Amino acid sequence: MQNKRQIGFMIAILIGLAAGLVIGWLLIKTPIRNASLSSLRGDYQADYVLMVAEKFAVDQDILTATALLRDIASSDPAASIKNALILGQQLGYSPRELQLITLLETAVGASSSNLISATPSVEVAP
Amino acid sequence: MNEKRGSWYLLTGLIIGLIIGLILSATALPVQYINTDPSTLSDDAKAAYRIMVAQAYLAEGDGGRARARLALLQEVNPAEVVIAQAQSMLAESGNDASARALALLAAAVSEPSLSITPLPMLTPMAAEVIPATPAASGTSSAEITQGPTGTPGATNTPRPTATPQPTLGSPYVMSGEPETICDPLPAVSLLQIIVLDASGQAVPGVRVEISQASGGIETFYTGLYPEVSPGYADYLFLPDAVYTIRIGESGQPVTGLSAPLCGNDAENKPAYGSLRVIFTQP
Repeated sequence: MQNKRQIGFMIAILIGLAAGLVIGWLLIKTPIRNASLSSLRGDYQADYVLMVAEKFAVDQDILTATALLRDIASSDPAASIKNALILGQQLGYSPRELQLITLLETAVGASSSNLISATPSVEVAP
Repeated sequence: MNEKRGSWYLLTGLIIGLIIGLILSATALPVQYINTDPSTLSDDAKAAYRIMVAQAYLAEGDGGRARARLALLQEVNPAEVVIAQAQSMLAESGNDASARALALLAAAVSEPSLSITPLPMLTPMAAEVIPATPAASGTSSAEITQGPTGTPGATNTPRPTATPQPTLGSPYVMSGEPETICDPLPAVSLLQIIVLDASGQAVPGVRVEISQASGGIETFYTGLYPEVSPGYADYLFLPDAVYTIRIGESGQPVTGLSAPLCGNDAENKPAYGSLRVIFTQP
């Protein structure tokens, strides 16, 4: 009997927890704040990539450009450029803007390949 | 003996769970937002966004676009926020180039008619671009048509980082003699610097380097007080200190600047005024 009550109590807590999370996430509307750059909508991210491309065109600093791209796509900066190109074409970016983004894409790609080729391979001794 | 305690323990468990769930949703497991707009960014992310807008503005010189991008942050007074960020970066000895870019951006926001010379692009641009249709696989690439000479496309040869030079031209020189401001006696003694280009237009974002005979060099930029003039900058004079200033990257140093003595105040102590120095491009 005691065991049954304990199990029932735990189940009640779990149901309450689930309900609390649902209420907290869905029903209590709080103003959105403290969002990160990576949470921006696609068109804003595309514009951000364009800004990075414009900066890169004048300073050719690929390390900084990659670091800035990681702010919106920490795992794969190259993917954020591809998305920006697709979206840029859909949104009517000018040919010059698309070219700037393409040049950034090429540079980031080349930079990644250089890093891969420069990484020493690990040899396992027999 | 049978104990009759009813089912209140279930309600108790439910309430405890509910409270824990609400606390978790507000603290440890907050909602992860996606597809937000720039106005919802955190303060740090907004600062990074502003720097990006400023640097893009230096690269393309499009004030309208910079203002539109900045407007996405939905700040009541964007110019003031940008100025505050630039001043804070300079005070913390942060990135000099970014602080200058922000100063120029602030000037562009305050003075829509302002135009700057975009920084030269180090990347060779192709003559024409034909955007490719996005591939079905989801990958994309923009095809670059080579220029009429058929020279090879852009190769990203490492080059030295460009120093932002929004205003190109001759070195700045002091115009006339410094003007002493004693009447009315200013509350604080300032070295007021106004930088004009060859056509007499105020120039924001110009580097001002100031040093004392006793040592120490400080750097600041014009444009942080656009309400006075986009080409204005000032520095708080220390009594009896003698300063040397240099405007721009290649300006000639102007030596022997110090707070002007404007008689004595009510307590019979020396009262110092301000000094206004105008620099122009010949």
